[in-house]
Amino acid sequence: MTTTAGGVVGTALRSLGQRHRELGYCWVVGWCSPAAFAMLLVGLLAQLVANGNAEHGWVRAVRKLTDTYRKLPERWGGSVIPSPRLRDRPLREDPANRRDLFFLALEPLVALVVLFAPNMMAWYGLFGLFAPGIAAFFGSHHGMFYGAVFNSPVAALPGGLALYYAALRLAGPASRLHAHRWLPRLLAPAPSVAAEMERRRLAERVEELTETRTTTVDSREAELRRIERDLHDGAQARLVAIGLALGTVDALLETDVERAREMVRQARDSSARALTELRDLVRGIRPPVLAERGLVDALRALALDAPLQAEVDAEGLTSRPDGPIETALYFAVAELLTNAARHGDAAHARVELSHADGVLRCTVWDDGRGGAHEEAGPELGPGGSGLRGIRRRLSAFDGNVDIESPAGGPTLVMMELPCVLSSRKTSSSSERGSATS
Amino acid sequence: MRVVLAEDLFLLREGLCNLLTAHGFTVVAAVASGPELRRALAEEELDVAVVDVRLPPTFTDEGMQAALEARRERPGLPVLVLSQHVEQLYARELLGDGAGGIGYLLKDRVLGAEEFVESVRRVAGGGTAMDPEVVTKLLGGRRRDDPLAMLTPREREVLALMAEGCSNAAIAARLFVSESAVGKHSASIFSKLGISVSDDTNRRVLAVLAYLNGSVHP
Repeated sequence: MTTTAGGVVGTALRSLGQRHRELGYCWVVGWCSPAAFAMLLVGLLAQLVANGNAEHGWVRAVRKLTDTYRKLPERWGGSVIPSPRLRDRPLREDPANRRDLFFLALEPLVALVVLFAPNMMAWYGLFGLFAPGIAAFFGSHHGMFYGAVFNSPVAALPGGLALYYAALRLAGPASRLHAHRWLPRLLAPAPSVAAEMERRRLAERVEELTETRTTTVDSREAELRRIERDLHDGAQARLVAIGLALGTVDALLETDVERAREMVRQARDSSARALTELRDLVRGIRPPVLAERGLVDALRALALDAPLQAEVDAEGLTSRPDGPIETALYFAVAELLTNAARHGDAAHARVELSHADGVLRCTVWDDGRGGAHEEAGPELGPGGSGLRGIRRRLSAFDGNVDIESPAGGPTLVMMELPCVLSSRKTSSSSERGSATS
Repeated sequence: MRVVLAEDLFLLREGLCNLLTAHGFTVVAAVASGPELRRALAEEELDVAVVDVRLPPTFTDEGMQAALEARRERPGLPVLVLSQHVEQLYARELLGDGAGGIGYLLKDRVLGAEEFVESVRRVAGGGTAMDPEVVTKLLGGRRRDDPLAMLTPREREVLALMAEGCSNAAIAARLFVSESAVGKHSASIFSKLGISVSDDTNRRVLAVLAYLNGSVHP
C-alpha cells in the first residue's frame, strides 16, 4: 500500500519535474536567443569600429554559438545535430557560415513565436497566484487584470493556477517543436553538404572494408593451409600406416603370429594417435564445447583448463551472439589467457562479458607483470603477434581492442564488437551453478 | 545386464551394440536422438545407459542434458557418457550430484574393448569411470596454489587411477605394488588434501574429484 502510494507520488513528482525542465527550456531559449543575437551584432560592430575588419573573430563566434544550439535536441531525447562543416574547407569560405548567420538572425523571431505562449502564460499565471497578496499589500485590487475579470482577488488564485498549468502542458510540445523541428532545419548540413559528407563516409568505409577483407581472406587462407598440412602430415599419414600394418598382418598371420600381434598393437596405437590429432585439429578450428554449449560455457571450460585461476562472469549476457563472433571471441580469450600465464606469469584472471546498445563487450583482466604490447621491434622484442592476431580477427567484425598493460601489471584487455544477440540462450542448462574455477 | 544405448552415428551404434552384446549385455534400446533417449530412459528397465554427448536434433549436448535430467528423476541412475572430446566442465556437471554411477569417456576408449566393457560394468555397479584425459587435466598441477603440489609423484599416480575409478586392488595391479602399499598412499593423499578416509572406493573418488573441482567439500 505504502509502496504504491509512494510510487504514485514519485511518478507525479517526476512528471512535474520534467514539465518544469521543459518550461525552463522555453524560458532560457526564449530569452537567450535574442540576447545572443544582439551580442553578436554588438561584437561585430565593435570589431568593425576597432579595426575595420570583422573577419577574424566573428566566424568563430558564430560557430561556437550555433554548436551550442546543435546540442539542444539532445536534452529532449533527440541526438546532437551533426555539424555541417567539411573538414578541409577553409574557415571563412565554408558555405555553412551563411546558413549559421541566417539561423542566428531568424532564431530570436522563431523562439519568440514558438515559445511565447508557455512563457507568457507561466508568468501571468504566477502573477495571478501572487496577485491577491499584492492586492492585499497595497490595500486595493482596482485596475488589476485579475481583479477586473473575476471581480475578486481570491478568484485570481484558481485562474493563475490554471494558466500556470496550461503553460506547463504547452511547454513540452513547444520545446520539442523548437528543438526537433526548427533547429535542424538550418543547423543540419545543407542537402549538398550532407551528400558530400555521406560520399566521404562511404569512401572511408569502402577503404576500411577492403582492408579488413584482405586480412580476413589472408588469415582464412593461412588457416586452411595449416589444416591441410596438419591433416596431410597427421591423420592421413597415420591411416596409411594403419593400412600398411594391416596388410603386413595379413601376410604374417600364418607365419609369425608374434610379429603379427606386434603389428596389430602398432596399428591400434596409430589409430589412437590419429584420433588425438584430429581432436586437437577440431579444437583449433571450432572447439566442440562452443558448438554444444555456446560462448559462455566454452569460456568456462577454457577457464578450467587454463594454467591459472580464471573466473568467467557473463551476467551481462542474456542470449547468444552469432556463431562467427562466438568463435572469434573464444579464440581471442584463449590467446589472452595463454599470454597471461606464459608471458605475464599471472596467477589470476577474470573474463567479463556484457552486451549493451548493440555492442558486445568482453574484458580480460590478469594480475601478471604487464607490459603487453602489439608492436614488434628491436627494443620491444618479437612479441605482440598474438595481440595483433586478435585485432585482425576482430576487425573482420568491425570490432575493436583496447589494451592497458603498464609495466608491472595488471593487464586489462577490452574487446568490443558491434552485434545483435540472437534469441538462443547463453547456456543450454539453466540449473548449473557458477562454473568458476 | 540391460543397456540403453544412444549414439547417432549408425556405424558406431551398431559397433557398440555388437560389442556389448558380445560381452553378455542386453541392449534394450539403441536410439539415435535426444527425444528417443529421453523416452527410453523414462520407460525402459535398465542397469546402465551409454550415451553420446552430442545428439540430434540440435547436435548440441542433447545426450548429456537428457542423461542429467534422467538422473535428477532417478538419482544414481548409472550413465556412461561418451564424447569426441572431454571437458573438465562436463566432468564436474556429471559428478555434481555426488550420487556415483557415472562415467565420462572419450569415444576412442571403445577401441580398447576389454577396458571399455569393464568401465561399463563398473558404472552399472555404481562406480565411476573417468577418462584418463580428464584426470590428466584435473591433475595437471599447473596452478600455483595447487594443493596437489604437496603430493609425491607416486601419490599422484595413485590419485589419478583412483579418479579413473579403479579400486585399490586394481591400482595395486596397475602399479605393480601391494594393496596395502596403495592403502598407505591413499591415506597419505587424503590427509594431505584434508579429506577424511572412508571405506567406499566410489565415495573416495567422488570426494577427490569434488575436492579438485572445488565444488563440494566432503
